[in-house]
Amino acid sequence: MTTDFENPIVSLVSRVLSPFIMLFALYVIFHGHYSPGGGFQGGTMLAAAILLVRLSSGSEVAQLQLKRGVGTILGSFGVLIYFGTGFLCLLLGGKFLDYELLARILPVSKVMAHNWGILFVEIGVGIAVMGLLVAIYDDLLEGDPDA
Amino acid sequence: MHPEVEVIFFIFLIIAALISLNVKNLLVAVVTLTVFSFVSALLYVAMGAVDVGFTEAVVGAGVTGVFFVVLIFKTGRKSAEKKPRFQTGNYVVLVIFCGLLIFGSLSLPNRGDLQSNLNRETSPAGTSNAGVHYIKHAYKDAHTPNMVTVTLADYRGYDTLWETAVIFTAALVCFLLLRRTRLQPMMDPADKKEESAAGAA
Repeated sequence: MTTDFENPIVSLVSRVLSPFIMLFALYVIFHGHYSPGGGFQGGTMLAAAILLVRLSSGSEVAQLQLKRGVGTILGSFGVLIYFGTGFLCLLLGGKFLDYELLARILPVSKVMAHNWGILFVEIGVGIAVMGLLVAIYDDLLEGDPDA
Repeated sequence: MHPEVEVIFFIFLIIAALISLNVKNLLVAVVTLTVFSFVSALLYVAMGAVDVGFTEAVVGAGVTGVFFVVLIFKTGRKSAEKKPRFQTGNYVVLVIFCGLLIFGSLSLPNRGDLQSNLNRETSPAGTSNAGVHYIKHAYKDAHTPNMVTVTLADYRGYDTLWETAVIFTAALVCFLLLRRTRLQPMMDPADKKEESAAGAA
């Protein structure tokens, strides 16, 4: 989304800053077990890093970072990871989202299986939130010539 | 946390809310709304709800502002030029409602009061409180120190599952409502020409 003039400082700073925000977002997702944060917060930060470049440099340049159709696909994939974790527990002979059953396919104890299950779910939520927020932004600016 | 700091936060919160309601330039309104979200995030952190504060800071101050800016970009920058009349009835209702809310909040327990029924180990009926159970068992059950994460993804996994489904539905609705240009190449160009000719005739 650009206006008549492009400010080189704004576009440069946003391009340099975006990967660092993404790195911190990944830290938030994977460190959610020990510190505040988790999938939702990390995913929103990932989306914010992508939207920053989209806002400052325009949607056309930002296609190099993440293509237009990818957001919806990534979002669906993230939701699928969450549901898949639930159904995996179901297939392994337990209840839906009963992470204890993951110990049968992972080489960890039953308690640590909970830890791993939470990690899978958080990754799913992170990917879903990131993809869907970027998809909503792209849908709002669909077909706009100077977007 | 010192209560004086919270009072300052609350004053900033009310100022930001009033500015964003009254300002004519919508872009300024969005920015002050972002400030409102950020100050409320600080308030959540001051109250000890760090996870909620983090979410508010990232969603309210980070992404919502971007979406509002996009909507302003698509529509118009100024709100409609209409002088709001000073209506006494509205303010009377407002004052009465505020009084009711303050009256209701007087009977709530103080924050962090160990003697209140919410924070005791057993409820008045003699059963053990749910929160105490989670605090005691969270690390034992999942080997995860952050019990908010355990509650969200393990004890209350269904809730988070359907929250994700709600966001998915929102994005799906946006996809179905707003993606029109993708369908146009499927129309035959010859049909299009005929249609415009018919429209001109």
